[in-house]
Amino acid sequence: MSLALLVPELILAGMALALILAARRIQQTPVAVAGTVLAAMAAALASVWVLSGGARAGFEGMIALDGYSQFFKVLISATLALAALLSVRNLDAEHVPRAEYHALLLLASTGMMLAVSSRDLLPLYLGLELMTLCAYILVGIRVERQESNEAAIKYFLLGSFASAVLIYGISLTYAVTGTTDFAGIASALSKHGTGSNLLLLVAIGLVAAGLAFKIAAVPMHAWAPDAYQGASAPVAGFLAAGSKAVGLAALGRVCLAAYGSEARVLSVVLAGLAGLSIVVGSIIALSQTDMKRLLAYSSIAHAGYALLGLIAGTGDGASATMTYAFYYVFMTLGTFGVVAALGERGETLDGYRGLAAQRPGIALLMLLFLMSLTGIPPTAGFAAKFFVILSAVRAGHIALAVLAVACSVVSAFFYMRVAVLMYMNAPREPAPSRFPAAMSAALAVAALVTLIGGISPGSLARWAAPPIP
Amino acid sequence: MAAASVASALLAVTRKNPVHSMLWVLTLFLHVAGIFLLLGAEFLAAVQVIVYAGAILIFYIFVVMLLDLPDEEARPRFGKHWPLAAAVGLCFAALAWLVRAGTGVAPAATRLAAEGPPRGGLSAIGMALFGPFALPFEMASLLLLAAIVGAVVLARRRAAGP
Repeated sequence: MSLALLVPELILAGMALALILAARRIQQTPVAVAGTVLAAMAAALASVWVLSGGARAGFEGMIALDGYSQFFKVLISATLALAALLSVRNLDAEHVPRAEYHALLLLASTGMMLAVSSRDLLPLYLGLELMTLCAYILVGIRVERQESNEAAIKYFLLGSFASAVLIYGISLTYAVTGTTDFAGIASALSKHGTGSNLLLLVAIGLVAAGLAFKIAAVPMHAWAPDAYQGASAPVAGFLAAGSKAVGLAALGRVCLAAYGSEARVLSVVLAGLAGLSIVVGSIIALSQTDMKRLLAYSSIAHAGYALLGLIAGTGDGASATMTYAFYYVFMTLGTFGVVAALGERGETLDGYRGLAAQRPGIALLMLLFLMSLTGIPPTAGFAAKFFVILSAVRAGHIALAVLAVACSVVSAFFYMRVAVLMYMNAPREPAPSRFPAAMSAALAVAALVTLIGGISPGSLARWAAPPIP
Repeated sequence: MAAASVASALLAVTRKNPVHSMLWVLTLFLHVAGIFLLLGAEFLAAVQVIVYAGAILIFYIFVVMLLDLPDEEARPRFGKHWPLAAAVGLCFAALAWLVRAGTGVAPAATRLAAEGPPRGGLSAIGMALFGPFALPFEMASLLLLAAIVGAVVLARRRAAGP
């Protein structure tokens, strides 16, 4: 029965439906949070369990069950659980309907899981749309706030445009190959030979551009700063971590499994995206004063770093990108978690003045995440960056690797500026209040993964299996 | 039919009065439905008329009527980027032409043409939706559910707010 392939998705969708049905009865945050976190854990366990029967495909070959989809499903479950735990305080402060908020988080995660396990362009597109549609609403869910509405409508308009680009690329691919199945596309292309076909090039360019929007790579990055600024910090973290991981997973599978024979074209496109994202993200981040905008530009730069692994078009390169996505999820959710924990104070850079004197623990955590984002050795960020840059060097893109390292140094300026504000300035605002246990737990998990990834960087290597073409 | 739909699309974009534009869009939808009918896709033609011409266009007209009409009419019809937009449109038209001409198309596409005329009848679509495409169909329903929940969340809170 191929329905067994979809157990994790069914768990998440089922919990979402249950929350929607019981919405009237759920007035307290803990019930919804507990339900969401339990569903996320069950989905993670289920995705490990279903693979124990071996890798296989179902639904007319549309859904693949392999190490690749399992890896990302576990990652998505972790993102969902952490985001739900981190949003405890924001939900209490703002008048956000609890059940619907968590149902949308769950549905977005369902879409993500379906997208990472798709072996066909049609469910891939639908899964990504399910994720983005929920994301538009989550960004605009604080409807009493002007900036939140503005961010949601901007994100919606740009997102619709990107979806149109993606579906146009898919339809052109169908026109050229007569199928939307990855294996079918690959075999049609290999029969066709390597001669360049204008339609095919346009199709690949459009699909890559549509997916680049999901990971916020330059030039499809314009939505990220506005959307992150308007969204509450946990939602912004969920978007930054989840959307990026899923976009990378989809790009990786499409590049390796479907358009593999056009690797030469793809590597040019991806190298362009990666180089531009790294440079633009790092340089614009230097002048930001809003914490969430700063993190948005940093996430654009990180999209570029993560793409470095895919340029090579090899399984090893894809593993490097998977490792990057994994650690990036935890460090970015940790950073956004600290922003969320500080409430209004965490929104601007000035709010971090003297934090170390008032709350040494939280300042230390922030320092750890910032070091990881910069890529300083004892943290996971260093290992992640090391693997992707190594992969770029092996693929012969020496100039790109040098650029990446140089921009990493540039990025140290704006990350460490926050650290300087925390440790070397006198506090101006009253100390933040204590935060709920759920938030502390989520921050601790994120910090733990960031540390373990830094101490034993190879621990993921066995697990990060590239997609089988 | 095709020429008439292109002409009505052009007229829809260039008319100054939004309601006139809407009426031209209506003729566009009807002509597209006619093309579907000629291709033997009766169900698609019916859906085109009922859903697009019937439901979606009415929504457009509601929106147009809710917005301030005279204000919209007074402004120039096009932004300054219209040559760029027109160029992009032409590029995509050229691409569509290339697809039709079959320039360098991979063998799979010819196989598709050999399968005979497309089956657009109601039973064929039904069998496809619940046969090989059952999963995408269910995913689309989940997507619509998310959209409905989102619309309710956004609209209800606004009504309750200040």
